[in-house]
Amino acid sequence: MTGHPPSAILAGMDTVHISPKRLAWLRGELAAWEADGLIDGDAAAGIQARYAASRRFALERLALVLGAAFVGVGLLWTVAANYERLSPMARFAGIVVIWLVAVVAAELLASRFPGALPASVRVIAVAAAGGVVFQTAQSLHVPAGSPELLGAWAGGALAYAYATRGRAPLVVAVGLSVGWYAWWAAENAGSHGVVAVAMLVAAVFATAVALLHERWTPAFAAVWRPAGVLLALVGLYVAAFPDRDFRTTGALWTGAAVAVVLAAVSVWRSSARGEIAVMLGILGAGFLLTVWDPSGSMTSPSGAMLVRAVAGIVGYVLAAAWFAFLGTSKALPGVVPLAAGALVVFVTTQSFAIFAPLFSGAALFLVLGVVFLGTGVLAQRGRRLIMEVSR
Amino acid sequence: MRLTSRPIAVAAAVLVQAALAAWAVQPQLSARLTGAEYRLAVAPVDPIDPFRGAYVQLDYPDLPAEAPGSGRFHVPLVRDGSLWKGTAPVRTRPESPHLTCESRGGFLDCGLDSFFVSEDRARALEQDVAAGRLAAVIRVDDQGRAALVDLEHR
Repeated sequence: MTGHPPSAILAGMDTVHISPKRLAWLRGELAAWEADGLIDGDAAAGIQARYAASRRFALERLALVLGAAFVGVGLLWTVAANYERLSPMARFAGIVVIWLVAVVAAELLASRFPGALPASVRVIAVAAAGGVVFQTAQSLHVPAGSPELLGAWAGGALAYAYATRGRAPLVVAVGLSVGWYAWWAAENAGSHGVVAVAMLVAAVFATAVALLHERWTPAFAAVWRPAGVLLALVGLYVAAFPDRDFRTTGALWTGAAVAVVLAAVSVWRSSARGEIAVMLGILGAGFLLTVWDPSGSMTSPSGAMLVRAVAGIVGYVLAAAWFAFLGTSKALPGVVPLAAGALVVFVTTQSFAIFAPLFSGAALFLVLGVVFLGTGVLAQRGRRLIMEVSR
Repeated sequence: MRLTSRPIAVAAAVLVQAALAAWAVQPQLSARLTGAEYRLAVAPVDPIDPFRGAYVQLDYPDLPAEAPGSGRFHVPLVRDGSLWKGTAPVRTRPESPHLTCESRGGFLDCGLDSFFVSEDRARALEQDVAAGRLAAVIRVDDQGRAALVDLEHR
């Protein structure tokens, strides 16, 4: 391009601070590439010179995230404390001023110092916007126990996240939106099965949105996709428990219709048909598990109840394995730890549920220990297999 | 282009957030701004909302608690001395003062059951409400949408 050797070009670039673990990995890879003749020693030294080990940025980010979370919770707590020494109008004006100052400050900071600092102020702005919603509702004595307020907060947070193109506010907004949808779908239903199916519907929605984002705003796909995986795994987990009170609600059907339409659009606009098909399959499996209510009790389970329990376990393990494969093959950040963690939690709770009535004391620990060791060995072998297949 | 479009997008998002906040409290806001005032007898219950703090959960002995079916009902209000009472819920909106309520599974919800106050005042209010010493002051607009304004001694 300019005629300079690669090391000279790299030497002119800013130093990038990365974690010591990542730097050690990079050094190993550079040595291997040099040994294979892919790059010469000059290029390897130039690349390595561009990176420096530092924990400073990780600590800074952690401090900023924690600070923003604490300030956000503190603002909501201040609203909930209902300080009557100040008039409702003064409290409303106060939280509106805090909200608008946070919005403006975040934009000014973002134009000067992009990174974690404006992101943390944006999180505070999202929390303050929630404070405005709840202060207004408190002053007007809007009845408690209704999801509309959370919905208004979530909708506003999504609009703000997209306007600022900020990942941090999007993480909060996605969490709020999922909470609102599960609440809305399960309102007055009195059924954990409705919450499970609502989460699976939201998982399809989140995955479809992630696929649509992949082309234009990949940073947002990195938020929506793990959200979809987490929702699918939590939804399937809850669906594994029998539910006598399940009944579909209007909100559930509305959400399912929106998710299916969005899934169709994402299949049309992207090439990841398999991913959407698997998510729809997980939704279908979870729905069937939820409506499948065989007779019998926990103390004397029927054959059909055992078949249902086994189907729930097999479905969960298959789903977790699929997400682990997907995360490894596409190098998706956060997906593999999510799948592995979910599998451990699921195996632990299911093992206790199955073996606790059969064994007690030392025998229970020995059996569970063997089950966990077996799970660990299988997971390790599975991970190696996935790595080999995806190469 | 980018430098000018970002502030506009953020300002639009702020307006969307403000509009959603107003939409979420719209029935109560309308009643507060345009409604007429009525006083009703109240009785207490006692919980806490994680986002809005302590409140007194109110019951209205002089309003019907149930309706024949689900959906929207109207409860006509009639004067009873210094207070007002509700009569049997009807489907068609009356011309006279009334509350517009939603029936879920036969139980009426007129949006008047939570009064948010500080935790200390909530305890004091509960005793007064339990003793039947208080009346709820509400405002009702011409659509029957109601907002709880205050609790006063009868």
